[in-house]
Amino acid sequence: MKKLLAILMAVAMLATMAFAGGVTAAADEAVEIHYAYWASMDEYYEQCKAAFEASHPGVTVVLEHTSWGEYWTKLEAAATGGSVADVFQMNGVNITKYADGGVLLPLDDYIAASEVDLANYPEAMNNMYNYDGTQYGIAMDYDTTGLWFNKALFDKAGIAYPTSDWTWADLTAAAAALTGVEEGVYGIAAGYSDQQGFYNTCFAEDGWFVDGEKFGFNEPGTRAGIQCWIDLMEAGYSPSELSLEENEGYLQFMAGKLGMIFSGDWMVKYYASEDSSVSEICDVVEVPLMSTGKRASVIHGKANCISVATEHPDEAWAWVEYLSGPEAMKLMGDMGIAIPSYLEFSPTFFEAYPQYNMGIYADAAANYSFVYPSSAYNTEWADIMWNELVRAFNLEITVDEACDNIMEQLG
Amino acid sequence: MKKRRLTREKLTNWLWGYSMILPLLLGLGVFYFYPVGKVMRDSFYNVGAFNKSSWAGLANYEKMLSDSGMWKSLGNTFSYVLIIIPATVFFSLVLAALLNTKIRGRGVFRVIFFIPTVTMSAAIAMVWRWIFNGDFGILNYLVKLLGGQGHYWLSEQATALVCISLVTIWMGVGYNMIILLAGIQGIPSVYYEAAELDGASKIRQFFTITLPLVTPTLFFVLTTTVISTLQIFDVIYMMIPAKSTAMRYTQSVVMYFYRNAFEFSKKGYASAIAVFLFVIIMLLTLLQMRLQKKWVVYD
Repeated sequence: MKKLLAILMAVAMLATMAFAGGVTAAADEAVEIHYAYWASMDEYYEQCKAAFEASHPGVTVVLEHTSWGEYWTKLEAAATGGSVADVFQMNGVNITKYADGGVLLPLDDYIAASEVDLANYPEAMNNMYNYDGTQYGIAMDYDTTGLWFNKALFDKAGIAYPTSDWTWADLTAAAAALTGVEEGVYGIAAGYSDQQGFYNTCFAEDGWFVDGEKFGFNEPGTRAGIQCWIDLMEAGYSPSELSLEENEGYLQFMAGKLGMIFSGDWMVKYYASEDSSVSEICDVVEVPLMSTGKRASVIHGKANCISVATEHPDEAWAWVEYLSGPEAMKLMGDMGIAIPSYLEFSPTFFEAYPQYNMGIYADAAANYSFVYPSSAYNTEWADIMWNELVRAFNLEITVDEACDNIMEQLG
Repeated sequence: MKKRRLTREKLTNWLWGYSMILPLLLGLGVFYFYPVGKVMRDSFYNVGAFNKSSWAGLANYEKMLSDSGMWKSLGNTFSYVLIIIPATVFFSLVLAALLNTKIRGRGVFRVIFFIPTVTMSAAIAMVWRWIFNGDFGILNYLVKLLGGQGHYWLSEQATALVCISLVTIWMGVGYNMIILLAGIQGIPSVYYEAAELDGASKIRQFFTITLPLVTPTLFFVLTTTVISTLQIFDVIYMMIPAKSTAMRYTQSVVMYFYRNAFEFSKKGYASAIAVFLFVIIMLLTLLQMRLQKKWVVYD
């Protein structure tokens, strides 16, 4: 017994020493900036980190990647517990919540004192990260949506490729011709998808979703923009909603099972990759014109924000400034990671994929983009929308019933 | 009555005793008692994102009464209990009884049946998701080979909850089997020898000796399985994505609690759900304690 006690005490003492050792070691080290992000761009950030650390001696960047599924849960828990990363990635859905929650450092003074000029970034992106007249984030990239198609399947069906003159009726006719052209092939993915689906068609039909505390699901245009997808579902030109949930549309497109799909520009790195069986035979075109004679694309983009609790705001700002600056932005485009939000360098991303008609994404941003719908209590309305609309996409209820239910629940 | 006097020896004993349980007590305090108290407090507050809270009174509990999502998930939870408990208890008892006989390679079988218990549930969920996949899954492949019709097993209303139950049963049988096996092995062999002399068959021995004498262990298994099934969460979390049609058919009370707390940032309401579930579990466990006098044999 005595022996056991002695061992236990020794272990306890060692633990104390280890703890004390850890503390002293940390105090001697240089400033550490923790950076949290979800986007799968590790290689890009590694290069940014190396370049940044070389030009900022004494500052170390610690990259903390979390997968999309857990990112927001983890970030909110960390922000609540006061252990959040110094700098973190933000999106348009969550910015209001975080800005309103007092978690973000206002950047106006830093921007004024630095060489950063917001005019270099898309206005829609600046506005997205501006809350109550205060700038809380600087956009790092932007996304719009286009129509991707599988040329081999179009050839096999004997129909012409999509053009920028296409209407929704043309798309429907092509989807009909493509369905069944090979075993298990469908014309298009028409399942529940917001940013890469009905958001775009609804805006083109003059619909809207949320404006402050008001919701637009009674608007005929909103309903028409959803109905057009349901029509494709009902006609059997798309895999079922359940199929698209278990095996996402982009995977089915990459496997050559889909003739067409609405996709954001960031999907190109998957479509062009070695895992894709369609990399040589696919291309992208502008989304079709709707009954209003207009087309629309939702625009969204990630931004970098600084925690109000950071102990090193100056170093944190330096990292944000670097990531938004010309060097990092050009690298992002050259590596083909995403469309750099720094407008001068946006084309570098398109040049990284010369085999595809990527310029349409810039046209979308410049000519027919609508800001990603968002509101102060976004998570709640988005979940109600999902709960009801998914039943319409499963063909259990009509679009009108689903929209009525949504409006009833949103009071 | 003797007067209680604090002798020096007693004091030293106490000091030693308490210092021995102090680490555990500290751990329990920080990671258990404090959170439990905090959840009970929060259930009377509106707690939003970043722990901003304001007094809500009984509003969270009132909201629960009219929340269809809450009642649906409570219904789902009881469906899990009704499917999982009988199957888990039955299969683990049968396996324990069979693996107690002197068959060749029983050590190997014990290990095989125990492996799911010690395997990471994330890995298990990944493999089962692939098996159940509606387009590429091996289950549909086999069903179609036999001339049947494929299903989106994990997405359809009729099958999703049953599939999750199956995986949970498969994961839980091994652990309960080991507990029951220990209980069975604790039965003195003289009973079996006497029964053997009287010419009782193996089946008869199981029902008249093994089953009654293993009831204390069976009671333990039943109680713990009921509690853990009422708290079912991890398999659902890993097999049903948040944006799945099947979420509303499969989400349990704990899953609904999790989504409210961490996806919708309604921590006060989520706390009320947690307290409500705690009360249900407590009542059911008390009921079981009462009922045990009717069927558990202590010698």
